[in-house]
Formats: sequence, C-alpha cells, structure tokens
Amino acid sequence: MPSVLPVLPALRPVFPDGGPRAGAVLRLDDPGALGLALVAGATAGDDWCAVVGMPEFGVLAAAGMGADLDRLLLVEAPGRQWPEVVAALADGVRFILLRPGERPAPAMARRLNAVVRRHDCVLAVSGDHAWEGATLTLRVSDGAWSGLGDGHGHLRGRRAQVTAYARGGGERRTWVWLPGPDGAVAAAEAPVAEPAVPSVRRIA
Amino acid sequence: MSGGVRPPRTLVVWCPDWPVTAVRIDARTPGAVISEGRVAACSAAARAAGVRRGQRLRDAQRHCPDLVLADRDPDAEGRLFERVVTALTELTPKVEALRPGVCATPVRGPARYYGGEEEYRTRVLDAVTRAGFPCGAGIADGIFAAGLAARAAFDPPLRPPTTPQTPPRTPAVLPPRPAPAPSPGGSGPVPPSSKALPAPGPGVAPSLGGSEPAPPSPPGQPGALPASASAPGPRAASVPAPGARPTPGPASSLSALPGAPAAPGSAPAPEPAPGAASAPAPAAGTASAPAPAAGPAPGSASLHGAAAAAASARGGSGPAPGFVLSGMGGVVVPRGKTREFLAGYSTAVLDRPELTGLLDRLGVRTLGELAALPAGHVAERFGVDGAMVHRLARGLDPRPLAPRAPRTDLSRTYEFDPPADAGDRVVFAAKTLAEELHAGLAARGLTCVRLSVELTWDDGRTLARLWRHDGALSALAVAERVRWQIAGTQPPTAEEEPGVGAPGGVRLLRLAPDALVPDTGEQQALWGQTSVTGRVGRAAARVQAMLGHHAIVRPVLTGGRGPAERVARVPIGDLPPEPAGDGPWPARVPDPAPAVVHPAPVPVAVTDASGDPVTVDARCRVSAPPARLRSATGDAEVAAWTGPWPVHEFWWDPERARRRARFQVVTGDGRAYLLMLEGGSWHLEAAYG
Repeated sequence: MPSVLPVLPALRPVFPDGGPRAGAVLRLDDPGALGLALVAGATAGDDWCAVVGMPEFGVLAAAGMGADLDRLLLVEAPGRQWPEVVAALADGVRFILLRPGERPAPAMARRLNAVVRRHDCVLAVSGDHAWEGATLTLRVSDGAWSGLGDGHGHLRGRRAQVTAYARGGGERRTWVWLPGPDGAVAAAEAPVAEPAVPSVRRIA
Repeated sequence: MSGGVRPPRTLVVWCPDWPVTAVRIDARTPGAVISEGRVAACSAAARAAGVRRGQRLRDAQRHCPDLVLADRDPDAEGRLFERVVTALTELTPKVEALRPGVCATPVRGPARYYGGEEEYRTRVLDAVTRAGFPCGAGIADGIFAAGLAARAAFDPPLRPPTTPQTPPRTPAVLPPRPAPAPSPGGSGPVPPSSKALPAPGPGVAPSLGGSEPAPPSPPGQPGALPASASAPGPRAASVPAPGARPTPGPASSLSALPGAPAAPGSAPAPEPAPGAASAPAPAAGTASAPAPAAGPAPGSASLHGAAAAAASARGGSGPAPGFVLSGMGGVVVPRGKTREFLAGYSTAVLDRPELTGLLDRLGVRTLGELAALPAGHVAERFGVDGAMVHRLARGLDPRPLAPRAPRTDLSRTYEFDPPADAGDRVVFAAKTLAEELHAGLAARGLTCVRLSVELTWDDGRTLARLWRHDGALSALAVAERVRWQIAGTQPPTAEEEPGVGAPGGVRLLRLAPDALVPDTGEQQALWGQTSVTGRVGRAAARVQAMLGHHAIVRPVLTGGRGPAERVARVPIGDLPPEPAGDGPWPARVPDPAPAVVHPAPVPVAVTDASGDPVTVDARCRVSAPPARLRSATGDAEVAAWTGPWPVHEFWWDPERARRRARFQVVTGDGRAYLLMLEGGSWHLEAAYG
C-alpha cells in the first residue's frame, strides 16, 4: 500500500511528501471546498472515502472536482456515536472526512488518532472544534470569487491560497482555483495586484 | 387416468354443519346460526323443517317457528375444531385444517401403518367420533375428491354414472327402485382395478369387521337415494323429512344429519330401515341393537355398529357403486377411480355458480359429462377457470404440477439458559450456529444473500435485523454481526427508555437465512459498478449495526435543477435508482457546484440599501439590489450579486408546484452563497465556500 494518500495535483505542493502520509490526521480550517478536494483526490485512486457528520457535504461539487462517487460513503447523522463510526470505518476506507458533532475530548481524539494510524488511514477533521494531535492544519485564505457582477453574470471560480501548517512549525502555501470555472481544482498563479477577472470587489 | 399426474391420496374429514355444532346446537334440535340476518348454517332437524342456508331469518322462522338461533361464532368454530385436529394428530402427525369443519391428511404413510386405507379411515372416524363430533371421512385422489368422498354418506352424487338422470328433488314417495345397474357386485362400471387397495365391490370391507364381504344392497333397500323415504326408519319421526326439498350439490352438505350416518344428505328421510340394517350387515348382531336407538349418538360405543349397518344398508345408494362404503359416512375411492367416482356428481359441487349455470344451460350437468369434454375445448370456451374445473372433474390436480424443491427450515436457534449477560457468550454461540447454518446451506448448494439475526432478551424484547451482503458470510463474520447488533442496540435502549431498565440477558438467538440463491461462487466484476465488498462492506455493515440501515449511504447523481436535487442517497445494500437521463434542465444552477449544500435551507434576511426586504415581482423584477445578508450566524454586506433565476416546477400539480427565484451573492468577506426566494421569504440554499 502506498504510504501517501493521493491528492489532486494542484494541492500537492502543500504536502511535504506530495500528499498526507498514511496515518496522518489533518485539521481543515475551511467549511467545504478543501475537504471536497481531498475526497476527490483520494477516490480518484482506488481508495474508498467516507464522510462522517457532514450532511451538507457538496456531493455535486466533489464530483465536479473529479471524485468517484462509487467509492464514497456518507454517514450524515452519526449523532453521539461518531467516534465509534470513525473507528469502524477506519478499518475499511482510506480517507475519512469528519466533522464532530461536539467538542471532542482530547483523550477521544488521541484514541482515534491511534486507530487511524493503526489502519493506515487518513483522517481530516473539519468544523470549529480543535483536535488534539493533528499532524497538519490546512487553511484556505484570501479567497476571491470571480464571475459575478452587480446583478449579472454567475459565479465562475474562486482563487484562494491554501496554507499547510505542520505541527513542527513549517508552513507551505500554494494558490489554487478552488474551484475553477469547470468545477475542477487547478493550480493558480498568485494574484499580482488585482485579480485576473476583476469583477469582484474585495472588501478587506 | 390419462393426461396428468394423479394427485396424492388424501383423506378428508368433514364434520357436517360445523357452525351449528360449534355453538352447541344438537342436530336433533332445530337450530340455525345467523350471520348478517341470514341463515349461515342450520341443524339437520331445522333443515328437515325447511330451513335453508342463505334464507332470511324471517323466512326461516316461518318454516320452523321454534327455531333455536345463535349468532355465528367463527372463533368458537376454530377453537372447537382444534379438538378434532388434536384427535387426529393422535393418529397421524400431518393434519392440515382446510377450514373449521374440514381437515385433510395424507394417506400413504398412515395407511401403511394401520394396514390399509379403509382401516385408517375407520380409525380416523373412530377418533373423531370419540372426541364427540359426528363426521364423515373419505379417501380419494386429491382433496377435492376426498372431500366429496367424506360427504358421500351425507351428500351423495346426483346419480350413479350410468343411471339415467333422476332428479333427487322428486318427493319421497317413489317406490323403491332397484339398485342401479352398477351394483357393488363387481359388474359395475367401476371394476376394482388397483392392486394394493382394499378391493371395492365384492371385497368391500365394512369398517367394523373389515374382513367380511359386504353383501350387495338388500333387495328391499332402495338403490337410489330418493326412495329411502319409503322405508321410514325409527328416527324418521325425529327428522320429519317428507316434503323437505333435498338440495344437491354443495348446499346439500347442510342437509346432513350429523351422527346419522345413514342420512344421505339429499334424501329426505334417509333412515335405514331396521330390517335393512339387520339383514345385510355383517355385524348384524351388534348393529341391530343400536340402530333403532340410534339417534345421533356420537361417541357412543355402539356407533360403529350402527354406522356399519347403516352404511351397508345403503350399499347401493352410495356415491357410486363399486366404492368401499362403510363406517359412518364416507367412502374410499380406489386409486385411479376418482374420475368415475366424481362422474355422478352434479357440477354444482364445484361451487362456481356462474360456471355451473352456464354448463347447465349447455346441458352439462354432471362432472362426468364435463370430464368427457375435450380439454382443449373446455379451456378455449371457459378459460383458466374452466380448465381447472375440467381437471378436477377428471380427477386430476386442479393445476398441473410445478415441481419445486421443498422448502426446508434452514434457520438455527440457540436458547440460553440461564440468559447470557455477556455478549461474548452470545457471539460464541452465534459462531457455532453460523457454522451449522453454513453446513446446511452448503449441503444444498445454496448461499444466502440476506441473513436475519434475531435476538430475544430476557424481558421479551426481540430485535431482528436483516444483514445483507454480496457473498457468503463466514461463520466469523456472522458472529461479528451478532456482536455489533448487541453492542449497537443495547446502550441506546437503556438510554432512551430509562424507565424500562436493563433488558436483561439474551435468551434466544436465531439465525435464519432470508434470501437463498444458488451458490455460484464469487466473481469480481472486471469493470463497471464498484460494489461494496470486503473490508469496506464490513465497515459499512458495522455502521449500519450501530445506526440503522439508512445511516450510511452512497451518493448517486440524478437529474434536477438545484444542487440538492441532483444527488440521491442510497443506503448501502440497496440498489441504486436507474440513472436519470441528463435531460435538459432549463434554469439549472450553473457550474461550479456549491461546496456546502444545506440539507434544509437556512432562513436568512436580504435587505436593500435602505433596509427594506428585497422582493421579486411576478415579472421577475427585483425591487432593489440586495445590500445586506443577515442570517442567524452573522451579518454581511453583499459585494456582488446576480439573479433572479426563476424556477417554476410542477406547475401542473397543485400539491407539488413550487415557484422560486434563485440568486447568487458574494459577500464582503469573500464568501459566495446560493440564495432562494420562495413565497416572500429568503433562504440560504447552499454556500460555495
């Protein structure tokens, strides 16, 4: 089994190994698109993914990013049994995207980290709660949508910066279209002064 | 017998006027059971007074002023019949109750055990009569013929096959007719042909002795049923019959006098003449004594004598000559002679009034005549029903045989004594059980694609869950599922129903294969749809054990306009819906799709620069550009927007019609949303990230 979870090419620069290592626990500081992109990258290989506790998971957008929905499992309402669900799924799938329904106790988080490590799975935790022992924190910042005018047009894409903060202190950044006009995630050039499609007023 | 498989030999026990018996009205008491204002059944005495099934209560009372009435009690009928069935199970384990009053048993085994079909039939009669119920029992090929054979004493056929038709409705003043041509003397049209049977005809074995030949009907005894009134028996007084109109066919089953074996249903006063009884009966000595005293005396020791005497007395007037006719009501139709036996019956016994009426008008009045018609023509003219009836008349199974493997019970059960408190004990037992189950399945070349695991706790709570899987479940996997089922259900039960308390230990574990398929081995798909297998399947099953079948789903894309409508969620193990054609969806929200799709739209407020709510009129004009977006979680300035995108769905269906307008907005903090305006209120449908 490869020791690195496949990710979309545009996101590879933020991972030191080109992807999260098996057994890694990621903390996502973004409500949606980043998790979708990770799921899309993982299912594009031969691996199964599971999404736990996220009834709002944008399946359509994930498909647009290239996710293979045939290998995607959704547990939308695990309730208070989410740790058991994650532990059960860790045995079968390669990547779990989780939003805990409640603040996870540090001990619980450590236990799940151990389970994930044992099964060579990758866990990505999103949501507002902190997670004890995350190896990497991913953050999306400086997002700017293009395509929308004042009463006309439609959303085309968002250019944003993805930053990975390693537990040790290092950080890596990259600019991506998250998503691009066709729904896919693509590498983007850093904005010079103004966005390439200058139809969105950015309020600092 | 040509052109078909002969149905198995069957014995039918028939208790006459069961609804009346069930409410404890004696056959000698004129009584009737009433259902919906009409006579549902009546006793023999009442029938003799002119009461008929289906009569209105008023008419019945006009015929018989001192009629004892009771409401029909189906429960009592079933309950009381249980005693008949119990009595029968003493003799044979396989008793099939057809309805209260009628039950059937296979003949092959018991007949061998008891030394002959007639012997078996006698024992059945004995057993039921001893239980206190008058009855008839008949043996023939198939239930239909056996039912008629059981009623033969009470309800003889219209006429013997070769006799010219004599309507039994003739008032009972006919002179005694000589026995019809086919007498039991062996020259009848139904010569005994089968080897292993109690030979009919001269070899007739009366129920009692069993060995002595039954003489042909006495000269003085009428051969044809209507005539018997000319020899009024001692009981004729109690059954005032003259003038009573006998009803042929099924209705006449009501006209039997329970316990009076000699009452050939449609015969008005069918009492055996004492002389007749004593003359021919082999057991004359015993028979003559009870006969005069007879009365319906079920259970009396002498009954048999009377029965035998009576039966033999009626030897010639039986259903069809040549059949073993003895005991109290009922005949044994020799193997392969069912068609001849049935030939004399009116088509009314088929209990299909419409068809019978039609046949009657076509001149087909008996089953014999019906059976003589070519099968193809019957099927052509009367359809499936006609073909079925034709098969019945020919003594065949109503439907051609469809061979099918017998369904055996492959489930396995384990009882814990004392109840198992520890899950491990149950899991361990489950493993053993599963191994047994698999051995049983494998021996039949089967595998089960669904397994039902049923757990019963000590307090009586039962939890059954179906486990579906693609391939064979190993014993270990079954045990695992049992453990999940215990672990997944117990804690919530205790939490949700605090008053109930702990459910106690597990008392019973049952594994039942639910859907069996031939075991063809497992073949992985080369390409095409990925199925949930292996470790993923086990993980998914575990989650289902914890949260239920619908808790873990796979997303499937379908057609639709909004981002939420375009995704269907299919529980693991269920088949996905047919992929919807990606037809034109005008007003579909353009790509890219939103990353966050709220399961239920979140109410928000959208206001313009002056703080008034933004509205859209019927012509899709926006009242003012949106300026602020307020939701429960925050307040943001609208930086860019577009819309409205009107959607008018299901306008043809007032129940489902929806009229909406969608907007996309980007707020000042760099986030983008999909908003929806419906009926004047704004909702947040999705967020783009």
